[in-house]
Amino acid sequence: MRKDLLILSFVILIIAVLFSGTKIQSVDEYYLTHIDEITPDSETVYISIRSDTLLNNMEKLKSELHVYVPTDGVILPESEYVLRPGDTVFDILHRAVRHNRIQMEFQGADKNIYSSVYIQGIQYLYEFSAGPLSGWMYEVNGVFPNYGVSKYKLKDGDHITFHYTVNLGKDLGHSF
Amino acid sequence: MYLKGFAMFHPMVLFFYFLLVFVILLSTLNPVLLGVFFVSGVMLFSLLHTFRKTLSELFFYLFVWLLVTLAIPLFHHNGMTILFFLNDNPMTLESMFLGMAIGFLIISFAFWCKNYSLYITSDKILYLLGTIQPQLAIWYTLLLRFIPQCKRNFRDIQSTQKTVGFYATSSLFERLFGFVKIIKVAFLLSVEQTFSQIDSMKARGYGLQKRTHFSIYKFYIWDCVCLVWLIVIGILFLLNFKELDFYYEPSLKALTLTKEMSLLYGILLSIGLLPAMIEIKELVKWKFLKSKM
Amino acid sequence: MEIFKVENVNFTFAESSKRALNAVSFTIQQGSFAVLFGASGSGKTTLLQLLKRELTPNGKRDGEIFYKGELLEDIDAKTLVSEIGFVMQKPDDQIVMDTVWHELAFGLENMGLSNAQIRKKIAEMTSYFGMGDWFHKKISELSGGQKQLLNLASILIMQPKVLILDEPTSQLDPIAATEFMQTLHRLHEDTGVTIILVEHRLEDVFQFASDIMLIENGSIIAQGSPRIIGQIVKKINEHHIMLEALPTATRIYYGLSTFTNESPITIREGMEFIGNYKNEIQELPRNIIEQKIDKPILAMKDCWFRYGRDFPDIVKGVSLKIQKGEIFCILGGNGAGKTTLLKLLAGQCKPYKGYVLLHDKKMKKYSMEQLYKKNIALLPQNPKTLFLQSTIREDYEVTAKLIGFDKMEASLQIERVMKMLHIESLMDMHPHSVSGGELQKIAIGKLLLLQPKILLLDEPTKGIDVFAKKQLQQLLQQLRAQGMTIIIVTHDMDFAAEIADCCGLYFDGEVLAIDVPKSFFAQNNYYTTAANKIARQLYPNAVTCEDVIELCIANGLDKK
Repeated sequence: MRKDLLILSFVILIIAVLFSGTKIQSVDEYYLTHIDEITPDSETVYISIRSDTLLNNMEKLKSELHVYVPTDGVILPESEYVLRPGDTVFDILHRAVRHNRIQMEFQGADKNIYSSVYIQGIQYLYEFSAGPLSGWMYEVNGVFPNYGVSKYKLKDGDHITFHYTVNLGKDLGHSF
Repeated sequence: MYLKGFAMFHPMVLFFYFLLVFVILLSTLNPVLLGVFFVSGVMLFSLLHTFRKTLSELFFYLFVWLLVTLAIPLFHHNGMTILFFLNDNPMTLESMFLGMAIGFLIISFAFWCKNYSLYITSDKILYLLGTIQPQLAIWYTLLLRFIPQCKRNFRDIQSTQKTVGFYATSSLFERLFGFVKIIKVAFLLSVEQTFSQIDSMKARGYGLQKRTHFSIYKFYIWDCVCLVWLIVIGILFLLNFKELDFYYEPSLKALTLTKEMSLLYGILLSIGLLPAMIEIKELVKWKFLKSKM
Repeated sequence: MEIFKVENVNFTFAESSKRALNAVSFTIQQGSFAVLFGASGSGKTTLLQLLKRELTPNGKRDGEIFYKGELLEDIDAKTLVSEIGFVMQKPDDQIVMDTVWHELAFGLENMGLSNAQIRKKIAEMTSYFGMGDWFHKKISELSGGQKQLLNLASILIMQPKVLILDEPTSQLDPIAATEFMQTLHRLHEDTGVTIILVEHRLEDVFQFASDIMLIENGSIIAQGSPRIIGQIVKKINEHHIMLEALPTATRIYYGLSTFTNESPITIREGMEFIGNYKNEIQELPRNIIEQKIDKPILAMKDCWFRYGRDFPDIVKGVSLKIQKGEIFCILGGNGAGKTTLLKLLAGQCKPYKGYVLLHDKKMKKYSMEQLYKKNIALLPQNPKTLFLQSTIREDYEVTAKLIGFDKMEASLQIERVMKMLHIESLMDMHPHSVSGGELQKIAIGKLLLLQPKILLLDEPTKGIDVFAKKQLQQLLQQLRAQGMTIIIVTHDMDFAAEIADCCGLYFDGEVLAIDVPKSFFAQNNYYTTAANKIARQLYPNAVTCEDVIELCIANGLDKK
């Protein structure tokens, strides 16, 4: 009986893995993203990643993660990337972190009730790492949108900034 | 099995012991602690069961451990050392270590659960419940007899019904329906029996006045000593909790093996080994006595 | 002193209109050992339950019951609980706790005794009953006899003045039953506790009893000491059915003529009494049914069986042949062995070595449908497990549908079965609410609907009264006349002696000594019927009570 359950679990595991795709890439392959050359007529957007709020709230952050908080609060300084047609905020972020070899973990759109990609962590700073109200939020041109990163379609010249919050956005001047 | 070796201790002591073990085991993922409790758990198990059984259990749980080790990295992608990428998700070394740790946790837990059930038998549970509230003990005992009786009734009815052509229909639906019906009747039969037991309880004066709670368990000096020792360890553990707590990601915490920490780990090891040592002592004692006789 | 006095008591159950007890009056003297017997449904259990207030069922009661001179309802609960003890029929229904020692302590805990007091009493009780070995065991590890002994001990530990027992040995095998009775007797002698006992099996208990009462249809129709009760019953009705419930020695005595002296009640007394007869004729001419055709309908060839890899062998290389149309009885000691054998014969279990042949075809070649529809039917030890619907009629209808009868045929068959078993009045009742003998009848009825060719019965005489046994006997003989093959597993030797064509002794996984009843019992010294034990000096081949009576009459008195 137990043995049967065990074998079943292994089979389910293998099926789950195969089902979700078997794209295996080595570390270097993954980070080798094709960055488009910026030409005068190409449409571009700007993206930066910041963790300033943490500097004032270090006591809330898990001790082992202190080493990952940059002293100036800037994880990624504002960088320009070519906007490909149909790119969402997520596409730009994904390209940017791969280009700069910054760790990022996200939850796929299909696993989400909002059916949008959800950013769980950047540079080892995860949601809930600094208390139950902490996590990543983003704003475009100073406005915090009400939908997920893979739903926001960008226009030429947009400025995207990712911020880490420790209390659901209040420290960033925005609340839900 | 009963009332020799570790089982000689008072149920309260036994209960606190296992409580302490489970709390320590489940509260941190400290690899040293995991190792300590895994080894002591398996050792105790091997003293209580045959060698063959211990081996077969270990074999089974090896696969469980493997399963967990492989499964955790599929869901946890945090960690500095990336081995490769699977579907855009990094498979990190740290996650694998986390997986191994959780695997050890699960199998240690399993072995300790088995050990627990051998020591904390139903009459000890009954005693413990009774000290809280005598009524609880009675309901527990009725439940204790109800479930096996229900199972037995179910088996009897099912085998009887087979020979009366009950399952001879080829329709799956009818068979399922019949199965449910048998469960219902088995349940009712057991309930009838419980009513009769309640009658028997009333016939012997249950409920007429305040009940006393009889026990054959007495507190001996070694119970007190053990209890004090357990409480001391418990406090030590709580005080050092921060030090003992472990994390695996983004990178493995550095294990500080200072003199104090080693001492602490040693003390906790002694806790894990306590029943095993007592059992071994008993074995040796009787072997020695036998050779003298 | 009168400990119990019952005056003109009538009792009707709450939902019924028929009187369960009718103008019942009797007294029980302190220190006496009273035995109550009667057919099932006659009101015995109800009467006992009225004496124990906590167990009295809902209903209307007239008349008065006095305990030690006071009205029962006026006495305070605590006194009653400890002074009147009640032992129920099924050991498992009465045990509440999980371990032996805790069960013993239960009653005393209820009385609020301190730990030290309880310890002392438990020590005393355990020593008296010799329970030292199994004191620490769990209830599930005990045998039936031990469980019932435990029940007795846990009541006695409360030091009752009266002990009421409702068929305490009906679920036990003969050895355990005899031991229980001996214990009761020893208790009675040692402590003088008043005992009120209801029993079907009077063989063992008559010698210990001081008063006997016969109850019928809710009234006590005969009362007297064990040695004269037979006479009293005979005066009511020469051929009263309940006379067959009396011990064999007594039955032989009364069967021979209307003696007015005191009757013998033990086997030894019976032997002394028989000694007055001549023994020239040792065998009566009888039609011996020649069964020379060796055409077995069911056969086992070298079967081995065990319940699991780590379990011991239960059946060890048994070979058995059962002829068509015969009644075959398997006797033997207690334990799961005989039931397992029956299950193998019925196809419920499969042997790991050897095979079973049904109609000369291996059993494993049959499908479930072929086996159990119009072929084999098994009556289990617990007939309640046969019924799944809420009334008996519904259950029969479902069974009939299962067999494949259409509506017309179904009601015809059900009618036929009802008539054969006289169960018309029970049809609309719930299967769990009928008494033992009735339960058995409706169970057999259900099996008959399946129109089996082979009927297997597992301990059919457990806990049923003499009247129901007789009916069962007649039914089985009727079925045999219709060509049915019947296999019975039982410890009831008297029943087997009366009805079997062939008997076998089951021992240590094997079936030995297969023979016709006459030779089977006559060859055994100890494992034989009471009648055989009584008469063996004179008539070694006499196996049933009737045999002995006939032979005595044929021989005549020895005019020495």
